[in-house]
Amino acid sequence: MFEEASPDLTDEQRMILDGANRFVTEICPFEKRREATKAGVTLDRTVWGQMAELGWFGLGLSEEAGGFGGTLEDVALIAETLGRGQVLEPFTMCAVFPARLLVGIGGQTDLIEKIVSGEKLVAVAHSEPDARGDVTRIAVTASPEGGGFRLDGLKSLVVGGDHADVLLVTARLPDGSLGLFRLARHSESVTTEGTRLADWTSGLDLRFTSAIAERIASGDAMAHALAAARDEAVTMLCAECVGAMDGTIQVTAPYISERRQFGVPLSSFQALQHRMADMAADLTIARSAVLRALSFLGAPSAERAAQVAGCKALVQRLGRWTTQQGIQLHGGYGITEEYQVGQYHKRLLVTDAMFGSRDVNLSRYTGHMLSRMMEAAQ
Amino acid sequence: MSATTPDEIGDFRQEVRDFLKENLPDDMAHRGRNGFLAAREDSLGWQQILAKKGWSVPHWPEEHGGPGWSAMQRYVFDEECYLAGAPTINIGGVGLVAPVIQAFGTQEQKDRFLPPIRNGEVFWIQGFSEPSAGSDLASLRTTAVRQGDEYVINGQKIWTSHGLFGDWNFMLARTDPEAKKQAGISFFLIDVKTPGLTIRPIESLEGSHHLTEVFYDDVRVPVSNRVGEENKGWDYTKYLLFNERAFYGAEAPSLKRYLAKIKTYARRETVDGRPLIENCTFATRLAELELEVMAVDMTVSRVIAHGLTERNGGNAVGSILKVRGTELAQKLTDLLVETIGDYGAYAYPDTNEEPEMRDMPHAGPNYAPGLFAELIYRRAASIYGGANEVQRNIIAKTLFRF
Ligand SMILES: Cc1cc2nc3c(=O)[nH]c(=O)nc-3n(C[C@H](O)[C@H](O)[C@H](O)COP(=O)(O)OP(=O)(O)OC[C@H]3O[C@@H](n4cnc5c(N)ncnc54)[C@H](O)[C@@H]3O)c2cc1C
Repeated sequence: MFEEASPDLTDEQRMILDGANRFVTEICPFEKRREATKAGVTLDRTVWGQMAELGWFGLGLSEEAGGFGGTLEDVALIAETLGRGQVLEPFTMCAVFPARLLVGIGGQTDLIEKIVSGEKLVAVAHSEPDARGDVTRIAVTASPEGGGFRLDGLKSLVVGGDHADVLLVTARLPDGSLGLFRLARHSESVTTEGTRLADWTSGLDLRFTSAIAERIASGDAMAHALAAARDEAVTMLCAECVGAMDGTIQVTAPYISERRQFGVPLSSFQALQHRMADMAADLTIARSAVLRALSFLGAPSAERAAQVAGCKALVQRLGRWTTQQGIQLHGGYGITEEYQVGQYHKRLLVTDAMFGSRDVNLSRYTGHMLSRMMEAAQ
Repeated sequence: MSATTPDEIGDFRQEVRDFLKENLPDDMAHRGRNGFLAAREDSLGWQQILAKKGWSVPHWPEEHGGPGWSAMQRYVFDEECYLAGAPTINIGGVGLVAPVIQAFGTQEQKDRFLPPIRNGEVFWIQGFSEPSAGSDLASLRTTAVRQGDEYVINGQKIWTSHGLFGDWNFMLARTDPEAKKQAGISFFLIDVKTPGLTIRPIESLEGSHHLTEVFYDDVRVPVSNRVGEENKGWDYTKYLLFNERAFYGAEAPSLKRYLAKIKTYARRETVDGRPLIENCTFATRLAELELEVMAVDMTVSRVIAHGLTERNGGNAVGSILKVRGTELAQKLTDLLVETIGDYGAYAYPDTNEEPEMRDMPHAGPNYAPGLFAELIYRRAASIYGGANEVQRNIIAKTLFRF
């Protein structure tokens, strides 16, 4: 019955997937991750360079833009695999997000090139405590100073903020409009609060105190580029979550097959079989939700934003449950740092906080759904 | 004193509130509220304060120093302590081993062990689970071999909570390897400083070290430290586990504390320029949880008032409360962490475990540290105290009587 259908991955995608899987098993095994996280390491520039060498940072970007071609579906395959592999390095937030944002605003070819080659690590400081995914809710100020601008205020959840070479910062200009600013990360006027995120990946607060920066975009063009890059990044985070769900199932199924209590393997209990059946069902649904969001990335901005927000709300709910069950089925071992399963759950919790939690995204989707209904009724 | 009418309970509640206001130190309450597990000095320190008032062992019979409260008063007391941010006391001592000693111990054991528990002088840890004996506890393999006036204990325990705080360890070991699983187990009390006993921390997901492994390598324990009869330990354990579930399973007071916290923070946090509490999706979710918490609370009150009846779940009610109580605590701590937005993703050092970090500046609002840790700790609540799947098996058994 499957013979009629066309394969769901192209030959190129199959190669990308194989390469990403090999990368995870060879370069980023769990034991190595555990050593790094114990030592407080959030990001390894050598690993970052290896990812660049594989061509991942230019994937999905046209050749004119400095990339290697390919589609966002290809990028999502990598994101999913890195989610499954619990790779610490922030592929989505420090490669996909800044590169697409820069391509969106135009210019900045030097920096795009250095992102693609892995030479420069770029962090996007877009979030603030009150933003919750609304990238236009910005309190950080930019005031003209000499030929440039002076930035003041606090950005939260800056992924890569500890290791970046270059920062892209959103800020509000004196006339109330928004701008995107570029500056070197290492400066006395940029200080940090916090150390890392709960899944041990990179992320912290950056405080700007009269930090001198260059304006690289502003007005509507910048707002459109930022919203588009956000939706692309959110979709990739959702793909990572799908990877985490898949990984949860892949470590839990053998665990409960081997673990014996009451003289039998845990997997012989039908209650646990059904639990895992539900986890598998949710994985399939979640992957479809991401593919659907990918199909909306070229849609008009309001539709695109709503569909991506809806995808995030759904994937976060399904992923949270599946990764919780992974812990539950491991018993006490699930709570420990020694076992892989708990890291998947922490990843789901961390991605939930990024760009607004599931309630916030669900209410944004709800608003869109209702306005579509009103339009149709008129 | 044994209040029964609503008025009397109201007066009692006020009395407890007044006491807490006067006697619960601010810094202790602050640490008690932050979500990290209580430090040893806070658990014992609070127990000492309560002991001066005669309130440190609400569940104990009066002959052992209990205050003679009704079940409803005990419940009100627990609730008020929680809401005020009082640290959790050493339940292993007060709630688990003490009732076993009272019911099955010798007079000498009662005289020796009960007063220091009542007065908050020693910390007790529970050594039941083993690497390959979790849900199937009766398959435990640690052995105790009698040699004259002593037993020699060898084996390994795991998941011993607060092992690093421990002064004394109550534990189970196999004394008759030939007997049927449950029939060959005995119950021992061991000073953790006994040679051959080693405690090693386990790192849990939020980065703290409240869980431990305990290794026994020819640990010699006097026969006088065995509770009750040899090979009868399983009976005492069932009694202990029943108490654990009945008194602590639902954790209704902590559920109310979560509701209160969420409401406080959701008024301060904003989304789309409005207080988070005004976001309809968020508020609906909170309302649903509140309804369920109140119904759990009502269930506990019914059990307190009428005992186990057919209409409140009968013999399965302990399991019912454990399953629903822990699931609710999980949903509430999920929401709690979501309430603080970006800061829900941040790692915060456990300041109850690393006091030197207490006064360090941190990212986010002052209530952010500890919420993530509490969420992870609640994840474990459906695993410890008899995993929820095992509780469901118990509930099903009463339904189908197999
Ligand atoms: C935070 C924490 C604190 C703890 N504190 C202590 C302590 O102080 N002292 C102590 O002695 N122990 C303690 N424990 C241990 C706890 O009692 C065990 O973790 C628990 O009994 C489960 O055992 P396990 O971890 O080996 O899981 P397993 O028994 O291996 O179970 C794994 C999964 O299989 C499921 N399962 C097992 N049997 C069945 C079945 N028949 N049908 C359906 N599903 C089944 C379980 O529900 C679980 O989801 C603690 C555990 C935790 C996580």
